[in-house]
Amino acid sequence: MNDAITGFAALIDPTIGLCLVVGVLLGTLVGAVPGISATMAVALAAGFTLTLEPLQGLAVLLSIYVAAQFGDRVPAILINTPGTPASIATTFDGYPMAKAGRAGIALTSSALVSAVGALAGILILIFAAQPVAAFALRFGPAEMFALVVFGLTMMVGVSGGNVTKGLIAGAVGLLFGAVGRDPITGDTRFTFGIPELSSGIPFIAAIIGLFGIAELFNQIIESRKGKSPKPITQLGEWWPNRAQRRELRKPTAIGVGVGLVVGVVPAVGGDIAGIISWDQARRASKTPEKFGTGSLEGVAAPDSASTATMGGSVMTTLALGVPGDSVMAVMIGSMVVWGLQPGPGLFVNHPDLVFSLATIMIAATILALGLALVRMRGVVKLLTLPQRYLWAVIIVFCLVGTFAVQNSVFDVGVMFAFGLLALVMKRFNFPAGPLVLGLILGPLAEGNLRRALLIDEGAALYTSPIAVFLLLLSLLAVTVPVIRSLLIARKIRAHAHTRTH
Amino acid sequence: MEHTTPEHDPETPALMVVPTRRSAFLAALVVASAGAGVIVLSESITVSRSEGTFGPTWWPALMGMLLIVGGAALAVAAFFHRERSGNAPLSRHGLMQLAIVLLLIVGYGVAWLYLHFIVVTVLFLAALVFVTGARGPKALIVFPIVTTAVLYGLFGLLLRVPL
Amino acid sequence: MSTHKSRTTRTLGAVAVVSVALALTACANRSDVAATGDVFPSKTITFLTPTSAGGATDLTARTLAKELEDEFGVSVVVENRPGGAGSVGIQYLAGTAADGYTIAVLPVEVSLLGHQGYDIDPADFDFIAQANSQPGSIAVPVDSPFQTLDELIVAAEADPGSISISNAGPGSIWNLGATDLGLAAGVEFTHVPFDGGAPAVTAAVGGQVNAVVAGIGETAPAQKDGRLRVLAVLTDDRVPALPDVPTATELGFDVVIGSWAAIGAPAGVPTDVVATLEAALKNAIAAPAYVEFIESGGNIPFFRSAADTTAFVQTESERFASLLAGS
Repeated sequence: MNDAITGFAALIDPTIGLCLVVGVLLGTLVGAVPGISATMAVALAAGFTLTLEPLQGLAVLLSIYVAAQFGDRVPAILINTPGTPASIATTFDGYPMAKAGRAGIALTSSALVSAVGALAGILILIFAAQPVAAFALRFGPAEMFALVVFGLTMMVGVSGGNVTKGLIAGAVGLLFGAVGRDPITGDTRFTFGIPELSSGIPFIAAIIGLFGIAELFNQIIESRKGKSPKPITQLGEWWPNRAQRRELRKPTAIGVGVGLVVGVVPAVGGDIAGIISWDQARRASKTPEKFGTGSLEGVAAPDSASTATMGGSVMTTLALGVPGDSVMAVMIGSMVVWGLQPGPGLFVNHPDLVFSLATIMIAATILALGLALVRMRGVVKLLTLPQRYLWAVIIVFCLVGTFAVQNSVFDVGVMFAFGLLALVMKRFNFPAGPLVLGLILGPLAEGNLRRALLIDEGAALYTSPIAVFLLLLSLLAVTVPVIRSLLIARKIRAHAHTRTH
Repeated sequence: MEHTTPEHDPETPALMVVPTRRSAFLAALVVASAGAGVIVLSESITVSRSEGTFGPTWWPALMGMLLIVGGAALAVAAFFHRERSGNAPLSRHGLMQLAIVLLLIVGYGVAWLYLHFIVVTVLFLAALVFVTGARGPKALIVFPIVTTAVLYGLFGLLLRVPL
Repeated sequence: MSTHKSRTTRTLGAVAVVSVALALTACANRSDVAATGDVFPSKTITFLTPTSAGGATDLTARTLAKELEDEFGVSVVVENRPGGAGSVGIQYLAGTAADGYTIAVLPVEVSLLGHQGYDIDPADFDFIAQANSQPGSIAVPVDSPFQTLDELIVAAEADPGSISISNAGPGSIWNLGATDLGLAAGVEFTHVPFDGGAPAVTAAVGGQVNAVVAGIGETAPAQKDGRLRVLAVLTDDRVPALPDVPTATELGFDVVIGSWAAIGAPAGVPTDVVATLEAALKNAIAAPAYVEFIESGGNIPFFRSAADTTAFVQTESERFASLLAGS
């Protein structure tokens, strides 16, 4: 307990408060701009914070990390463009809600459940760091492959009704994931001599194209001369009523659960957690058919999940010295410079630091939540712009934001190419969700399977308890809905039968 | 892009569009031939060292096969029932606008190579709102300049992106 | 209709005028103190890094940039050009003006990628200095039965391919390090490439592989925490971060390999400009802030002159070519 007090006392310093405020403002801003992800913002800030005291620097970096997760929901809900990859799944229901005039309640609920998720994740960080870190270490290639297989079963769920088309889109996504250097031999695949492609398809450019640009192009081709559709001025209510708050509970609990587990596993982050928890909440929901058409539950699950990953990621990073996600990979660099080598030794040498970090993150969460609730009405004004201005703003911000990721014009081209691809897909009723899932999981699936095969010819796939459990879970995820729908069909038939008698 | 729906009165709510059987078969054909194309392409990957069955080519080839199977499944499905689409109908005007917007984007990319970011972005924004129907100094001057200023301030000055 | 049209034309005309004015001011700002004389440097220097912001190479550039700014009194702006395993940024540098106002961190990949199908040749660059060296090491999980490098080699000899060694990626410098060790000892390892150094080290900590070849910056802290046992460092002499760990050469395996970072410019920079940059970099690399930064990562701050670096990169490139052919 002494450590907790020392850790907390170390923060009683006005400059740290200032650092927190700066970080939260920056994080919310960069989160809300498509293209600039938390990773990039933290990386750029790291250049400046190195000269600060460690705690001050960590306050800036961690609060950017936390606040970006609040900011990125805004474009996801309002213009179908994920501000950072963590809010990909937010677009599934958030944007349909906004189109239906319920943007206000979607934004408020999103901010509230994001805060719940973040706080839950941080609690785990404080109380369970070391045992859980030991668990994370057991994720070798075979276990990772099994986890990714489980993730791939979500493809059926995010297909939006047409499973055949969903699986085709998923296969296309997995193929796009294979572009670049082979993960084991290094041979180039499908790069057509373009050096930019040898490190794979730029992910952020692809998701901005698939969601934001495709939606925008679709609005353009549906527009009619002289009749510009009315902008979304109807924002609906702001604060969820009692029934809605109750509705939020279950998906948030599912989201937090999924987020904690995914967050602990190294190298996977909020994007995957969001999609998995969206699908889990759909399965558990009383009204699964509403998912994807503007369900409040469908916003709560992914948003609480992606923020809940943060505690787990920080924990894995601190306890193992292994980056829990890409933001943490950048932060490790700074921490090393400050003489805080992440790893089990950190808990021995600086036990108070963990409490300081957790306190910083809690403070950042509360600040970011407050900011999110206050500035919401202002941000939403953007939507009251006539559509043509909104189009122009979205195009230039996505364009420059995507360029800024790698200072690469090629990435901008990729963004528009994926926008056109997703437009054609949309017109032919192919869902974009499975494609993104394939793009994220493809390299992880192939690389880890082949690593597992190299190490022991894949024996760990059926000897490791974690791998076996996850593979069985995947099997259940695919078969249970089929069996259930067969049973229901039979019940209905039986019912109809008895009635005719 | 296949579209055979008649022009609807824009005032009526977006009608469901039933894609024709022809376009469903077209989609199936595109998917299956993409799969075949991927298999052919994956054969041409140069493999530096052999790794048994699971080399660099098996994964893409597997996906290619999945696409062929998926295309066949689509064709079969199209044979038996028509799918309802949730899309609103597209318009000729809209397609023209998209074509112009795409041309503007390409033009912007080219112009950016030669001129300063601020110039091309102001012109690009003015052109974008112009072709989508905006008129007047507020739309064509104030809006582009303010938006460009925000962009340049955020990316160029704050984030030091080499624009 | 016609009035409408003319108004549009007028507005567009006004837009053009305003934009040109804006552009002129912007350009004026851009060229800073626009060439006031022949003295180098008289305007902003761009310091490229072929990596994303935040990584070790990027921070190297940022730390050095700060020192160079103090040295020269002009702005030194770091610009990230990541992608294609570093090839995008390295090729981008080759296409910039050889006036000394564009320099870059050139990591070890500059001598590797040319042998892996990329259009990169060290001869396209003027090397100004070497900035650090990141020695290699081989480590095993702390509960591994192998106490010494010899025991590991003997096990690999007894059952070829049974010993798995993780590395940072196919064709990475640490993949070559493991290959080099296998060649020197005459044994066959199973190389397991991961997507980066951190996951490769984690695989060894978690016991999924028998050993890992990685930079001491990653293995030394893990040894201190009791997660890994470093069996040997792949250097000429023992390293300060791991004074008790023998070199592979001491143990009879002649393997010296590591990562490094050089500073370079496109070929054809005037010799006096190179000399100015070289002198400034020598001071920057000795500056306390930089030394502390490199040492905190477990690596070795290290200055090598322009001429020596050019020769060094060439030798490394030739060596890597034969190693890659042998892997």
